[in-house]
Amino acid sequence: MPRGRRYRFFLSACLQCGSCTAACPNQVDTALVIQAGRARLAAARESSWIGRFITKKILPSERRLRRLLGLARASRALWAKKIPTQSGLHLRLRRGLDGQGRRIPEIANTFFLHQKQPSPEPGAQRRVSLFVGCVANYLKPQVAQAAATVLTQAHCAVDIPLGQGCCGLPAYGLGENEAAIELAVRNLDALMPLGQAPPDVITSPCASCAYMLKKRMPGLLSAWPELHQRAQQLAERVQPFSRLFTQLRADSAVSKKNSSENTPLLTFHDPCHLAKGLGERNAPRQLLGQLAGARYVEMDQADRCCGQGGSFCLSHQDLSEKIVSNKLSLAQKSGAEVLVTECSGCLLQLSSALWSEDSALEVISTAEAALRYQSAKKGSM
Amino acid sequence: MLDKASLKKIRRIMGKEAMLNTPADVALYGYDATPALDGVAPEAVVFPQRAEQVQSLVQLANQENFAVVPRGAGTGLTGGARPIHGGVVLSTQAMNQILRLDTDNFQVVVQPGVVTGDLQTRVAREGLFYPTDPQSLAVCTIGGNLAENAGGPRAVKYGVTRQQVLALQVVLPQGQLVRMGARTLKTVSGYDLVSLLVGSEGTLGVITEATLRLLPAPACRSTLLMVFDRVDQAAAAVAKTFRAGVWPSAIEFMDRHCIRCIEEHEPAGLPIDAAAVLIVEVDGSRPEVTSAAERVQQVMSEMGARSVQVAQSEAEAEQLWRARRSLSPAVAKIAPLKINEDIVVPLSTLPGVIDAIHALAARQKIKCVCFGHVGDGNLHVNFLADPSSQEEVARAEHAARELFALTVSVGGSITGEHGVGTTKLAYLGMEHAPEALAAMAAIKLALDPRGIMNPGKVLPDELLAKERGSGPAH
Ligand SMILES: Cc1cc2nc3c(=O)[nH]c(=O)nc-3n(C[C@H](O)[C@H](O)[C@H](O)COP(=O)(O)OP(=O)(O)OC[C@H]3O[C@@H](n4cnc5c(N)ncnc54)[C@H](O)[C@@H]3O)c2cc1C
Ligand code: SF4
Repeated sequence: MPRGRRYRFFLSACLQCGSCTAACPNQVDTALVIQAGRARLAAARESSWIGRFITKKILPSERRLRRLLGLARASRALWAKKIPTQSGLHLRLRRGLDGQGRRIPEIANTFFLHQKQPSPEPGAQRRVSLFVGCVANYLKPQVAQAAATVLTQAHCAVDIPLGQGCCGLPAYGLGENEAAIELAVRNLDALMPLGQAPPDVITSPCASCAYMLKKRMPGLLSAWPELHQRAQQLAERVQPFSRLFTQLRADSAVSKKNSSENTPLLTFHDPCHLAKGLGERNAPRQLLGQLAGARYVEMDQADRCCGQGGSFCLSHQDLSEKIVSNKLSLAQKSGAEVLVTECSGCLLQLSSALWSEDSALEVISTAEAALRYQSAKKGSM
Repeated sequence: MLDKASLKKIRRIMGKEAMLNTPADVALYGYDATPALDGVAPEAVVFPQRAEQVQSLVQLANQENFAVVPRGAGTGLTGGARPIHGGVVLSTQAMNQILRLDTDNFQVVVQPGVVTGDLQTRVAREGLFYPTDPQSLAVCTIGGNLAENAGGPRAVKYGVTRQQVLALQVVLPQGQLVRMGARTLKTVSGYDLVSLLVGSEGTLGVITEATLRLLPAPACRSTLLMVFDRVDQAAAAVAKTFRAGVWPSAIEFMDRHCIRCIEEHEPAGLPIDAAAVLIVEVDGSRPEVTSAAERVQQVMSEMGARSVQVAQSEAEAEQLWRARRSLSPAVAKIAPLKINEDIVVPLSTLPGVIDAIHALAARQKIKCVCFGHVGDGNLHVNFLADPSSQEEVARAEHAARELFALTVSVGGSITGEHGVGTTKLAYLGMEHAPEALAAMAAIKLALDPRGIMNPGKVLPDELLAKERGSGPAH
């Protein structure tokens, strides 16, 4: 098919949210079809150069990304001038620099993978490797920290392999298969090191990373039988954070203590990659429902996409803003004070929109909620 | 091939916004919901709003000799809406108005693009009821339902789409805009053209308006779940229920593989060790429903049901129906290719037929999933195959052929509701005598001598060519 204007429009207008597949009697994997189309465009060099620059040159190279982010930390103004609003870096650092009074997410002083981690408790039962992801590493280390802490408390030996990088989903979503493959191989080596016993479980506080590792990585490596096989073994071990955590709690038979009336009210936004991509809808609700220091309320249309959609929030900014603002008003209507989600894309999308709407709602990840509200005392942090 | 001039004429009829012809825009109109059929993109897609536009387009098609393929929501399961001979896809998407709701005469007049579920919701607000409920009702259209004579779980009591239609407005294949039927509950004036058009799969004309019959909404419903350890007991219980004087509004059957599939993908609490379950719904006034539900429980227990459970709330009933609706996607998840047949057999033969189906699948070493609206003898048989193995696909196709032979041998029909489209063309001769097929061809040729109306569907091209050759010259 000729790659005309309409062709490019259709390909760019997909959020990769998977709602169509979830509803489809034939389970057509539209996101995969769209991705293949984007890969075709990318191969013919018809996707945006800046998106390509970022996903190919910056994200795969930790050194370069660190330099860029370090630079930003040193001088917001410079950063703001250097990267235009439309730039592909907003793939992840969405809308932070648009000069319209909206803020960029704070860049962490010390990246998570550079922080010293506590050594596992003696007698730990399960060996869990934590995949951190870009957002939790560079922007919100508290998310990864929370995941590591609660898993350690739940008697896991948490390993945070240092060789890991970006999960590759941003590159993959843009059809930049080469860059995505490079990252896949690197993560494979970090998470399933050759000649060593693999971890029991691989988890990530970000469901999109988990989705990439579990659902897309094997297919991406299918041309190399050996890598493909290892990727499948990796995929089998991946569990979204909330699933793993609720399982651990079930194992240790923690029963819910009744939360008192004055604990904060939480609600949950289903990340598309969690609910539709990985089919996990129960675990996060169970996790939040069991927290002694908080109460849970279901919001209307919790599984409607937040409009981030990787490159979508750049190529269709107006639409993306409409979608997220609808999402937020639904969350507010639920009466919740804290909006919890489990994907770094959603986290950024929701928090930057909240900031610009000047709302009292707070957005955090399931891992943070698990840590913050696990006991009644700590409920009012 | 449509040339520039023809496209221009079509655009003039439709208006600028109502025609698409760039490859990216038309590509998806080359598919419907039939698994494993390749896309065959049309040359243009049009979205008329009025019957007169449809008429002008069909007239033009006769002059310039291009195919017109009507399309509702594209949920058809036999390839009916795929433009296999190119030409123009006529989407009814913009003809989606409910024109008149006549509560005094229990009638509604609709355009063909109205979504079935939307119509049900609308009439329910007046305390009325449109019973036909294909499991695709959230998206499929009344036009598509009429063209396929669609059924659904409730067909056992309320009949299929044909039973709901009083009158139609149709653009015939040569461009005549005609009305047929009457806005009365009965009529015997002349040949029954409505019956001819219903189920004609878009090959005898485009339905541009329909007058449908409505019913008073039943006051109350009850849904029951019956669990069986033996398939033949479940199958035999169906006829037994009627004999006990109960006329359920639905009887759905699911075999062991279905239950497993659902429980793996969208757990609904069905017993995974059961051989089969029946979901039975009864409706009517409260006392009727209570006594019918009791009788159903009694019959089922006598027939050997391991457990009989009555949904205690709307929510519980809805959970059962949701499980039933989630079946198609769940089956699709376990098998990359499903060959989906919807045979219908006389009720008394059900137990033997289900047994024989499992046996023939085992003989062909093919996984087979069986479910369906068994209340009217309709069984959905899905043969599951791995499309990368040609040999396995061939075995599945062989199993399908054996299934049809079995069906016809007990006096059944090869399709209860999905139609022939293109996927069942090869099997039509197993059910109908050559003379009957020749009569069908004569009708098609009389109404559509140029063969422009959804060509290649329902009747094989070779048959039409042969009949055209032997018939009187036009
Ligand atoms: C998940 C799923 C569940 C289903 N369950 C059922 C079920 O329970 N019972 C059942 O009977 N079917 C079922 N079907 C099949 C399908 O939904 C029905 O055949 C439905 O009637 C098709 O409607 P549509 O609007 O999608 O028509 P389409 O698929 O667009 O078209 C179907 C045929 O009708 C013709 N057509 C459409 N509109 C017109 C018109 N205005 N005038 C003339 N011809 C027209 C087309 O040319 C084509 O041949 C199911 C399908 C799916 C995907
Ligand atoms: S946006 Fe979501 S629902 Fe739409 S095509 Fe893309 S994945 Fe499917």
